[in-house]
Amino acid sequence: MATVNKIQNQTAFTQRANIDQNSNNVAMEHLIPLPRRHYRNHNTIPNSVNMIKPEPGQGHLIRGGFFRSIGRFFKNRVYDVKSVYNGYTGKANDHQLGRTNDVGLVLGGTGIAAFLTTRRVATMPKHMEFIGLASFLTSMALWPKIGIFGPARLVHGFDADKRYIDDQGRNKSVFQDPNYVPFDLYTGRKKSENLSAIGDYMGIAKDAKNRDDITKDQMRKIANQNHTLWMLTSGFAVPTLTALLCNGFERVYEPFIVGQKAKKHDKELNEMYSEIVNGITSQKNTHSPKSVMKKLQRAIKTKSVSEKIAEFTSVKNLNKVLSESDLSKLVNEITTDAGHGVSEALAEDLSAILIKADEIVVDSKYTEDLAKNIESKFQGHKLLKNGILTLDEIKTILLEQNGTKDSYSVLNKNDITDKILNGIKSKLASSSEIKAAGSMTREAVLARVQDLATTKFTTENILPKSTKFVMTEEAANTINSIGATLETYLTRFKKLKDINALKMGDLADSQNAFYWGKLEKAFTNIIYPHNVITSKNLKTLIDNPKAIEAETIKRLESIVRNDGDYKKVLSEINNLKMGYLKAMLGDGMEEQYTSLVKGSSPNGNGCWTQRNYRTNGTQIDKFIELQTRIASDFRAGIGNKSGLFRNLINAIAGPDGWNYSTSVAHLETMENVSKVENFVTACDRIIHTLDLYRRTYLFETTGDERYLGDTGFINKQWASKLFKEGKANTLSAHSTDFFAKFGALNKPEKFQNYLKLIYNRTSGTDSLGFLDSLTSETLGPTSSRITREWIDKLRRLVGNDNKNWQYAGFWVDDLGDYANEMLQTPEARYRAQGKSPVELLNQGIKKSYNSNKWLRMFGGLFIGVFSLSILSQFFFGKKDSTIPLEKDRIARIKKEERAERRQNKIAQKEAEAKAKQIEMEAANAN
Amino acid sequence: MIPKVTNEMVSRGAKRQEVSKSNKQKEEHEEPKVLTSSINNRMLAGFHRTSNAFLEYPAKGLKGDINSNFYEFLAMGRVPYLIGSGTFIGVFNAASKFFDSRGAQKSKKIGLKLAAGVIFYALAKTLSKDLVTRPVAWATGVDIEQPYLNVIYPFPKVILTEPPKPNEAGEKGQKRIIQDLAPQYQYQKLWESVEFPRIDLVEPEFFDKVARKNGLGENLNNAEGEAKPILKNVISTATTAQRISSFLWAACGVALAACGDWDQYYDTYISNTKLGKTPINKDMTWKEKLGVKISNGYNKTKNATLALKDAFASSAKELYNGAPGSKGFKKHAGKGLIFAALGSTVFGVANTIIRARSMGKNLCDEKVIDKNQDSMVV
Repeated sequence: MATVNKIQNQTAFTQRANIDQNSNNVAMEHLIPLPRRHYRNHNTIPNSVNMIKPEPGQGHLIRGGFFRSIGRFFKNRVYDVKSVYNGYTGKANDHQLGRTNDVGLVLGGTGIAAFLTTRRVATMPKHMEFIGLASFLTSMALWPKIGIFGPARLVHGFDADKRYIDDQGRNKSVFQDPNYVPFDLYTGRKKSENLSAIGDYMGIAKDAKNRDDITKDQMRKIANQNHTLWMLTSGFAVPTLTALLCNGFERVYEPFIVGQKAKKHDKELNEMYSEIVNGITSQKNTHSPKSVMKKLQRAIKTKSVSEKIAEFTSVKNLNKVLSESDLSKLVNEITTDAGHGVSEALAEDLSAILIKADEIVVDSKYTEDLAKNIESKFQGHKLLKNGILTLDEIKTILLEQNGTKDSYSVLNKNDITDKILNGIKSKLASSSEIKAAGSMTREAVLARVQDLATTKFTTENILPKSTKFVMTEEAANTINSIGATLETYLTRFKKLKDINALKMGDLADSQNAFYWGKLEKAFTNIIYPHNVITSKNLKTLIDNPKAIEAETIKRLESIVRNDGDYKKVLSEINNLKMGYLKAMLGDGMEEQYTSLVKGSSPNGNGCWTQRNYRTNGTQIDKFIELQTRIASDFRAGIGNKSGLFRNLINAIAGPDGWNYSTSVAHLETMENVSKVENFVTACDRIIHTLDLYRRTYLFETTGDERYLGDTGFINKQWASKLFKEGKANTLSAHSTDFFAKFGALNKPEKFQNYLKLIYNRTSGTDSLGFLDSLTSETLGPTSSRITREWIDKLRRLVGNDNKNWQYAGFWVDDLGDYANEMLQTPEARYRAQGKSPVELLNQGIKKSYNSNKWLRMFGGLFIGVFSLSILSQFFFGKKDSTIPLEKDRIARIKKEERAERRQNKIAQKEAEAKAKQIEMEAANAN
Repeated sequence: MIPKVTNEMVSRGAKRQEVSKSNKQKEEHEEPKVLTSSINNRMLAGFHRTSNAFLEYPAKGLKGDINSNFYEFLAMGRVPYLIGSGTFIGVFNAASKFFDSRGAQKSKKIGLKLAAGVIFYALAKTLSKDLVTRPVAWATGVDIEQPYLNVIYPFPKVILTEPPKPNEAGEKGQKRIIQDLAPQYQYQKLWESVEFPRIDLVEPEFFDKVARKNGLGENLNNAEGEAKPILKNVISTATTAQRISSFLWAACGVALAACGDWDQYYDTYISNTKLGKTPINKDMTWKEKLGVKISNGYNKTKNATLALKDAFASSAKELYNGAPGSKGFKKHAGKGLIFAALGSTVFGVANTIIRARSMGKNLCDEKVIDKNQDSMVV
């Protein structure tokens, strides 16, 4: 029906058009009654009640207000979604089509952010991808507000970015199209919508003709200028603002993420601990969204460890020849991230199970290789040369031994060589040439062959390396039997490792890395605060340890002069140290640190076990216990097959009683302990350095011998000299440096004195390193004890380094009752020295310089663009000479008033003169 | 209010306009004309729009010229895109030369990767548009990229012959000369607006084609009236499809730059300028020198192109298959992104074509009136 109506309408329209064209003389009124006559005939205002009128306009300007703007934001997003829907269904209007662009931008941006998170490892950078997108969108919205229209409003008195809702409810910009500005919406209900008030702000004369029109034209012009400025500046301002916002947000967000991860670590570690060690399974809500996510992940996840093992040992492979690559593929798949040495151990065990050490799988490929080997050994030999034994014949001999071409046999290595030798002998025996020869010759040839066999034809020489295995039923059962146990271990191990990484990991947002960053930054800011050193000077220090050392000595000397400064700096470093310990060991467990790194006593076999590091109740202790527990559970799970999986058990749990230190459990534990030690030692070294500078300063100013500690016999001149060397060494020296520096072999006494002074220990009951009283007081008892113990340890290390001293047959310092095993390995020695302050500063300076440079460059660009756009406002909206100005009007009025006053004055004077004259005249008359 | 320009304010540009104006006056009034949708024309249009967006329109806009219009504002919309891309690349790269050598190397590599991301974003976004518009144009006869050259006759310029001087009565009376300005050209798209499509500019055959392609039949009496709803529908659906899919393709571009081994490519062919160069001897004649230079340039370009192909292939592979050793979402994210872009394109095109066809079919199926007949018997 619709079509019929349409056609009828068209016909009617055409008819009317025809009439219009053809009947020029016929008045239109005859056909269509027009209201014009109606108006013409009435002198009064027509009664409009019964007439069709347009509806009153619904359009209005949008007003500010925080809550309203939030409401509008969500309304606009709903409108955006609706726009896309309408777009796809073909019903969108132009405004909605415009919105689809913005939806696309957000959609594409989200896609980018989501993809890039998969390229990031740590949580923080993952989140930053989305934060980056949000910053970009925010900057795009924020820049025109703060950089363009905000200043414009202040300078020109109106909002050039004013938006309005049109009759159809669409949110539009008032000044976007300079040829269509809906000024009729400026109804004057509010001051900002009042053209007259805006005109006042612009300084247009109050008595100007068509004043509102002048205002409107000015507004149009200024808005046009500002929109252009917006387009020109956005390209510079938005990216820099985005980068600055991201940079700023990252600083606030990082501690938050680190804290969250640490909390997660504690919670999960406790759960796992009570589950495995105490046997309490926590009630988990399996319907939580997280577990649904996990289920989904499991759906696309690859097979589990036991499934993979089952597949490997399935019928598919049973009694088949497998290559080494089949085996290593399995091993690599199941032991990724299983810890050091596990995959090698597993591969070794599996290959031993699959084939005995002196056996070889002989198949056609192996035969081929063997034949080639034999050929090369016989190269140039008479037997081959004379065509007595061809390559094919050798192959035939071998194949005779090994059955048909496609099958295989498992042979003992020696059997193979024997059989080949026998084959060759019989072949020779039956050869016509040999038969023809005399018995003497025959014997000579056979002797020659025998000779060959003993020299060139040994098993090692002739047999190619076999990389083949056969999956027998027995082997399959053996391998299958550990599937579940191995899976349990690997799952637990991976979970524990993941939990551990939250806090101890190397990723930038783990607590460990976070504290390192903080220490680096804090120490750099102490030594090189921005108000003391310029960026240019900072650059000269990068990768220049000598310069850093010289500069740092100067800075530290000035810091220790003032008690307040010294205490402040010291407590800042100390807070980091104790904060770190609290985070790593648990609240109130800081005391346990010393026993953690010191260890107690060797076990029965004279070796150190992981139990050395155990300190009851700390987070690390829980980790150690869990680590040991899952390893011993694994050993128990293997049961009577332990002989077959010796290598694997050794790698994971260590064989009972000895050599535990190579096991995964031990190494993981070691890693954690050394991470903690690394950080605390770095802090201790800084504290010790500061203390030394302080003592030196006090000694040199007061001459008081107490600052030398328990070294009364050192004379003062020596002390000053040694202090000076100590000041440089504490900053940058490594243990080998001392040896070289002092030429210690030649001057052992000097070195001895040096050790006593710098790494001093007090006499009496507490035989630990010496700290100045103010230092001890600032550090507090726990921290100062940790530092003093470290100083003591370092004294032993420096004074008694086995590597450098033992051949001299001379130990500078008396070690007392025990040699510290903890210092036996080079790693332990390196760790004990800590990161030198100069190294720390070098990295800190680099980062500080780089981030400052970047910030100054782009912060500068942003500020430049910002100032330029503000400055531009004062050149915008220049009024030409035709616009009457309020100030001119006021000046004119004042001028007129002045003129009037002058006139009045003159008139008054004249009147006075006249009155005087009259008076005089009257007087004269009298 | 007509803005006034004093003698001093008449710039050399305006004078030139005057001259060209006097020539133009003699010519006939120009009408907008439709251009063929060739790559050439579209590139010309793009160049015209972009160059003016940088050179002419900002000058007008900053003066607050009364002849500034919405087209110019929209054209200037590409200025922040282009400058912004450059600034983003700069943000990632420019500071690196101030860093210490190791930091600089590291940040340069990251920066180059991000810069490639910006470039790939722009390339993918521009090139992917044709994935929607070409099939739609072929299937429905409506090419939403179809350009036309619009002619605008601006408001005349008012030039004051005398400097303003208030007369005795205090009124600022001035003599004005009103001069017509040269017409302005705008490269617009015929079907940019769904509400005001420029149907006045196309030949009637256009609607016959649209009607025929969408199943309305041939030799219609009122092809324009019949095909216009389909035209509007196609504009809406195809524009939406193009907008949404092009951003997803752009995302694929960024993802591509983030994948694969671009480092090696940068190291070998961008930062290392001396690679594979035949040294130039002092003794060579200028012809030989030129020959060596040309062959060096050729070799470098050739090698770089080949390496670029490899880098592309490796990163595309990695984008599709996921980084080596990755699992789950990490492994399939790239694939997902590609399929999202591909899906949005295929869906958008299919949606446009099917909707247009079904509209044509529905109109045709209402067999109340046979539109090919002049009259009908009820």
